Amino acid sequence: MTPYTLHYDPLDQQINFEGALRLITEEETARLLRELTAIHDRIEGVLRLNFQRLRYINAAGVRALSLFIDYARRQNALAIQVIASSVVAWSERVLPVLQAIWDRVEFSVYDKNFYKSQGIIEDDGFIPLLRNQTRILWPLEQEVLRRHGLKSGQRVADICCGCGDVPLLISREFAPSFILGVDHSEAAVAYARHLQSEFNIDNAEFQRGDATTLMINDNSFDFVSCRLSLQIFSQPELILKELIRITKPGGQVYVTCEDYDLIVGYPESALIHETYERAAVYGDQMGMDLRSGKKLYSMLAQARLEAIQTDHIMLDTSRADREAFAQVIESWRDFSVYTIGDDLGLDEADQATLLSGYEAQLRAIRSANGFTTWGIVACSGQKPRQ
Amino acid sequence: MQSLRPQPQSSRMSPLFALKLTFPAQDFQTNWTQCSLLANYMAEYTAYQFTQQERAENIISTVANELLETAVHLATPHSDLTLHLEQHAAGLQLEVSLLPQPDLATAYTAFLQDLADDVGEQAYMQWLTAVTIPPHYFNQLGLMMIAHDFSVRITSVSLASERICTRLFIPNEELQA
Repeated sequence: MTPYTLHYDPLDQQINFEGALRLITEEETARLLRELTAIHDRIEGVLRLNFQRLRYINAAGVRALSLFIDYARRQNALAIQVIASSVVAWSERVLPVLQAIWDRVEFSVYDKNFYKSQGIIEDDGFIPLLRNQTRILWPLEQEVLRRHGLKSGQRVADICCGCGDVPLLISREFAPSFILGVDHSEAAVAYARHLQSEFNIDNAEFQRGDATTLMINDNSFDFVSCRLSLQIFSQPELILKELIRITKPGGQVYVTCEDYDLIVGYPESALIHETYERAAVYGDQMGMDLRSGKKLYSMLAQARLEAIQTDHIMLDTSRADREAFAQVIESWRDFSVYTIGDDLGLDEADQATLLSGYEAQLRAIRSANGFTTWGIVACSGQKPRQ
Repeated sequence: MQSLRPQPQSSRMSPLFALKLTFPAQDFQTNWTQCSLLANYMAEYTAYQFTQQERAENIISTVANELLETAVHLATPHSDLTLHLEQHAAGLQLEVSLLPQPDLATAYTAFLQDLADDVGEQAYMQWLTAVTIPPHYFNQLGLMMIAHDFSVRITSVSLASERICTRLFIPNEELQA
């Protein structure tokens, strides 16, 4: 484990700690205190201490921070915000003590409620939906992944990997040298590890992590994917920045997002269309952008990725097992009408309207001559070599 | 290797998993980063058995590191440290046995007795904000921190040959929130 580093970001007046703050000598404590007080003395307003990337600390490190807070208390010039993360368990337990030293210290855990739908999406009840989606998407997506540069021998990371089935399928079909799956959901990561033992795959690893603050070294993967996840975060650019950071120069960043504007159905077209219009609006209210597929190219271009290529993964009733497709729509229906509907406090009439479109789509899927789609945009770009 | 462990109640049951390591204290006293290295090793070696693997790893490492730092402060140079880690149904038990420096032994056992009675909030805050550390320092602050912030029980037993065994117990509830 590397020793700690301390980086001051003047744009946010934030000190970012990284590595392991395990101090040994009094000289080390004094040095850290000097660094912190020097920053303290040249700013005004609010100073943030961010511990999201600090993997370990020891009591001597906590004492150095306490001495700094005590210094700030005596100066009484700044307010201090302390930012912990549930991914580094020590921080939630140890850091609240800093508030006891000075009541102008505000303590928060960054990744508690850091996106609106977190409670729903990180629940283990969400896993069957993820599994059904993979069941119908994988036959199409594996070809898309190949076109976007995924190949044998690469080091691959799948960020927001959900229940881990896709990284394991990638391991099986593409033979990467190593694949890492990261997800913030405890339930999903536990499921992924269970699935890994069932698949008997050795070159995969799953870890719990925050996609906006990955505990992964810079430039460490050849191919980094983030599939069907950016749309649930209000600041997807923070995740994209991390995907690019961990990708090797010349490596590929691959992202997919669904886009409700690409969903059509027949017969009962209007009913289906209206339901997805409404679902997208309700999604907005939950902090999700369910029409973000069309924005991916622009996002990757603004992030200065090169050789950007796009693909549609257009699933439809002529190319998918109809019953598996129906099961996905049933999961969406329940998720949208009941889970999100209850969360947003939709009344019975609104829920019934929403429900009618999903039922119409299910009739289209289960009718021999019916047709419907699920449209996803896949987009990838190369990280510049220099 | 001779058994240095006491035989209190919890140890009579067979552990689900055990790891025992012996080191020269001087290795750590001349290179303190070895504490961190060993704490991380034990944590990573053990954590896969817990559902919340990252959480367990982080807490085991944090707690083990403080125990090791304490042991290295206390141990007589040229003596050995024996570290014993066991997983039981209710949690994880860490033990370290050592030969303490004579001038620290009494203070250490008295400190652990006080700690077992209560982790005084005020005393902890005083330690955290003390500008200088006392001359007889054996990582009191580290032991207070793990008792204060983690649900860790700390006990100590005097052994034959003037050795002391310190035991920490981390309950499963702490490792799997």
